[in-house]
Amino acid sequence: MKSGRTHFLGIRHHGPGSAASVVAALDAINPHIVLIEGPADANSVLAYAANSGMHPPLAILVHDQDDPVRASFFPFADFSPEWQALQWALRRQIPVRFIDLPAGQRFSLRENKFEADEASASNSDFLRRDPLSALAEAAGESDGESWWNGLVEQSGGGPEVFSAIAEAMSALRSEVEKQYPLSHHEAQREAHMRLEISQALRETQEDIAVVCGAWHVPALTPLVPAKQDRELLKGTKSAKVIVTWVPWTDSRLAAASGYGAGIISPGWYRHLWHEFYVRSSTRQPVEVAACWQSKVASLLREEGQLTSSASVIESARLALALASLRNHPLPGLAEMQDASLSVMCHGDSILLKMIHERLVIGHAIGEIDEIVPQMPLAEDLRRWQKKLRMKPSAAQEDLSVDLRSETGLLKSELLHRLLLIDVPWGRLTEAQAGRGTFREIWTIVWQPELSVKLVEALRFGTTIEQAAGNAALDAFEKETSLARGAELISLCLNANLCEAAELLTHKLQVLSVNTTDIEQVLRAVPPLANILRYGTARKLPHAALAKLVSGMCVEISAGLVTACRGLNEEVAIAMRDAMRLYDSAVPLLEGPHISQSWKNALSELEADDAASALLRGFALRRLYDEGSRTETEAATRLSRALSMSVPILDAGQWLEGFLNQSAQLLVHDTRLFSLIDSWLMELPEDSFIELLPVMRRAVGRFDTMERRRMMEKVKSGTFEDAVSPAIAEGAAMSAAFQKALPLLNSILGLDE
Amino acid sequence: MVKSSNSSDDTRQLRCTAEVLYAHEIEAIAASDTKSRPEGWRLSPQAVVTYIMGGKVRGSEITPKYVGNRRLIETAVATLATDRALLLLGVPGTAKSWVSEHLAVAISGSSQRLIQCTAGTDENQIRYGWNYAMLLAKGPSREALVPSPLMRSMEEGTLLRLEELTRMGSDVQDTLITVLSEKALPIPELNDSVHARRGFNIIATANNRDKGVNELSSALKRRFNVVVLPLPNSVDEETAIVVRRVNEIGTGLQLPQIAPIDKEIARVVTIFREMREGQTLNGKQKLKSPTGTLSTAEAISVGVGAWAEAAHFGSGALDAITLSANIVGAVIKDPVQDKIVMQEYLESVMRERSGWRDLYDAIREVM
Repeated sequence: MKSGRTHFLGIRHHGPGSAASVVAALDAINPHIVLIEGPADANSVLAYAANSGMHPPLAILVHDQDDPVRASFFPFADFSPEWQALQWALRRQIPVRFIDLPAGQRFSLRENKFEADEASASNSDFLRRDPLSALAEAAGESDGESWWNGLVEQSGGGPEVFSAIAEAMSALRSEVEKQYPLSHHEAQREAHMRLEISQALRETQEDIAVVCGAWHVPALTPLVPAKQDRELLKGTKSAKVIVTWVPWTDSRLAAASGYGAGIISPGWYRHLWHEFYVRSSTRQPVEVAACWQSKVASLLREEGQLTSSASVIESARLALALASLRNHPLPGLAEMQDASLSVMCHGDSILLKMIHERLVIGHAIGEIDEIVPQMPLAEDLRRWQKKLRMKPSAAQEDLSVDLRSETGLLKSELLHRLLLIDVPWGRLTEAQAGRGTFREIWTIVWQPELSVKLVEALRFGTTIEQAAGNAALDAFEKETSLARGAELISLCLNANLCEAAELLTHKLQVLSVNTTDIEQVLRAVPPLANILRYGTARKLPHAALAKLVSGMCVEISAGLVTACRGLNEEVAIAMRDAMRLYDSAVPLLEGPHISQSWKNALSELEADDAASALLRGFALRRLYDEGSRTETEAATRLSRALSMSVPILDAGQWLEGFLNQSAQLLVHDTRLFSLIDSWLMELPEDSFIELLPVMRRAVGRFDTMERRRMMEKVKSGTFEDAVSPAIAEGAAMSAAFQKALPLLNSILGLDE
Repeated sequence: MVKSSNSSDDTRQLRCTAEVLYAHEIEAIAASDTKSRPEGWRLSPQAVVTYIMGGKVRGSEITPKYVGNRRLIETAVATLATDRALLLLGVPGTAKSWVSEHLAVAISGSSQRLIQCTAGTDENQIRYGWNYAMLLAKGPSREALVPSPLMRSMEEGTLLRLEELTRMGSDVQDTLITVLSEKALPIPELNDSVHARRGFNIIATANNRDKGVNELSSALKRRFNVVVLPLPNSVDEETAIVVRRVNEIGTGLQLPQIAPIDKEIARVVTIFREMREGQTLNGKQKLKSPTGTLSTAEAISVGVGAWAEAAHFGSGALDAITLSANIVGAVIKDPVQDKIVMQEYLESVMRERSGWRDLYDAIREVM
């Protein structure tokens, strides 16, 4: 639409149809300046878009210099009209500028009155963001794109389409504004754009073009005195910002984000753009349909569905028939989906849902040319990515790393360092985490917001190595738990941050001396023990670490018994778990004194009547397994701990601790089995009945399979009985024994 | 065209066919239909959609035949326009046969080319049979051949309806493969074949949640475009469908007029939906589901049954007493299991629902 020397091209954000119309219109108008709706403070980086290494989807990231969390993204796809207009101007070396309110101004606005505005505007939000879709909906079309297509068809495809848009928008806006008056922020934006337009008009005597959301066109055309606009903008101040390009992804494009118009189907729009608009002179709707349907078919085949070429043809035909039935010049996504559903999926919508993400949304991720200045950390990351040949991808992938090779080790170090600065590009898969093997399996997926996290991490340093080290120290300062401290040390070592690890070791030492929480110490030792034992591939502050661990072990032995007294059940269970962890770490540690002092601590604990029953049971069990207690000793302790005078609850806990959740061992270790068996056999009948609930409770923690195995074992009756030979071999066959089996079933909880 | 023996006296016919009932609508649409028609079609595809979904054409009101998603009907019509066979899938009472009948009427002007597929349907009923007297007297010839509805449809270029396609044996189903891909029916006995004229196509219906069906072979399935007709989305939508159908059927049966039925039907639909989905409408309470499907079709027959009862024996309006026996009859198909379901629903849902006391009492009495 033309007003004086200004051509207004009202577009649909991210609409491929609009993009094609914009390019055609620019060709026809041949303007001398191109103005685009976008934050004015991003003008400094626009020129980079011309570089050959820039592959959309990309976004302009604007963030506050002092507080990077305050950031805005302005995404572009290759089918975005703004991107196409930008490219058009840059190719011809014509001045091109963004004319919207600077993003920095939004940051300062957000603090005072922007939020209130946003709340009141939310009702008309959909209209403002995508007024064309709203119109399309009113006209009964499925989305804005098919509506645009129809419009272009009617107006003959030339730049005249923009006059039609401007007309429709004027009508729409006057209606909408009656109901929802223009927000202050919106008014300021439009004032800013008007001022920029008149500035551009002063610069040239030729025509200029303004590419902006269709919604704004009616507001930008009338002549508003510049003074009035300046008045409106008075007093706004802009925060200092840093602007750069960052890679963007399809899934981000699909979600409503940053700059208003989110779109729902980048995959489909990209298809339309490349298959139809870019080559519109040679492409027929039938080819567009066939090409899309064969995409659907190949995705279905990947899912294991037999999809023949014949059904691709039939789907394409149906899509075209539907489009003509619905009076569309070209099948839209709705027609394509209806056709695929009916022909290729036999009406089964689950199949379509399975491929929806890959088909309609897409997995594309943008690339930035190397010339574009990046923030130091992003730059550093890119260097590493190049060196290690790791391309960021929006699709989730598994990466297997061999720590024996140099690249493998470096890859693992890089991912670990990124974890430390809270940029979780990769996640170590749980099954492999902490296992002392030379292979690590990572799940990696790049998300655009990681760019922001990289900016946030700048406060720790300007290279990834430096930032990671400082981030670890910072995390330690905030963290008072020993266990987390030990984990941090282990993370630092995995990330090859020796200096940081050494510093942390000293700090942990200080912390461990001051702590009174034995459970924490118990938990802190295992990761350190792992490092000492297996971490030799990396340079270690070995001596300091060994000293720290041995100090901790001494502390544990000294404090264990007191720490186990007077615990409630929950705390006791946590303690038991910590002890089990520590217990499995003890053999990894060098020096016999450590295991000896642990054994001493356990015997002390086992004999201490004031300590929690669960833990006493556990202690005895460990000692018995070690061979420090003989069977007879153990049998005595067992019947003592479970004698009638002991409260039932305590007895139950003791037994639970003793059985130590290990039914397997109970089944296979005949000595252990007969120990418990003979204790049960010797009980007087009354006490036996009294103790039944305790038994039931102790075995109740086993899973069904384990309980069934125990039942099998009892039924077979062939276990060796070392302690009480009272049971004759034939007993298993006796009638009384057989009679008791059903009852046993119910004790073991197998009868339900 | 199929001859109807009593076509001269339509008013005495128990159920009038769609082409008779809606003849005026078809005429009105055809008169204003300016879009291009595929060869052999009486209306353009757009006009067919208008006929099914309802609307206004040059001042005459077109009643909606199908209440639901317009896109589904558009897909169905576009399928037929592209010469592909159409398979309508859905649970009972989702208007599959109804839609198929009206599509046939709108496109071919007749819904009477129909094969009801059963376990006993054999190939001769699909392709052609023989007049054995003639066969013995004159030997194999076209005169001795008894054409099936399929063969007649092909010769006339009209739509053939196959009801409950999956109830028929798989081997018999596969007879259709040649017809669908070659659009021809070979008659090897005569060294001849019948070639379909333009306008011929097949609409099949099948129930996708029924027991004892013969799954379509993949060869046959590939030749159909499938449209799944869903159950109505909301109580209001379903109630509107049931009320309209009950009124139509009741009027057709010349039942005495009674007071408006909307409110009572809404209760029946609510009960059926809650039982079918196994939870109350607000989703707060889980319920047992009965063995039957409790489809919209069953709600309609409850409505009609209750109407007949109310008009002839009751107060002249649908009320709790006339509904109760019909509801119980529809829900309790298995005397043991379903009775528990009904009882649980009575006590845990109906008893506490305000304004439902009358229905609660009436149903309790019946049980």
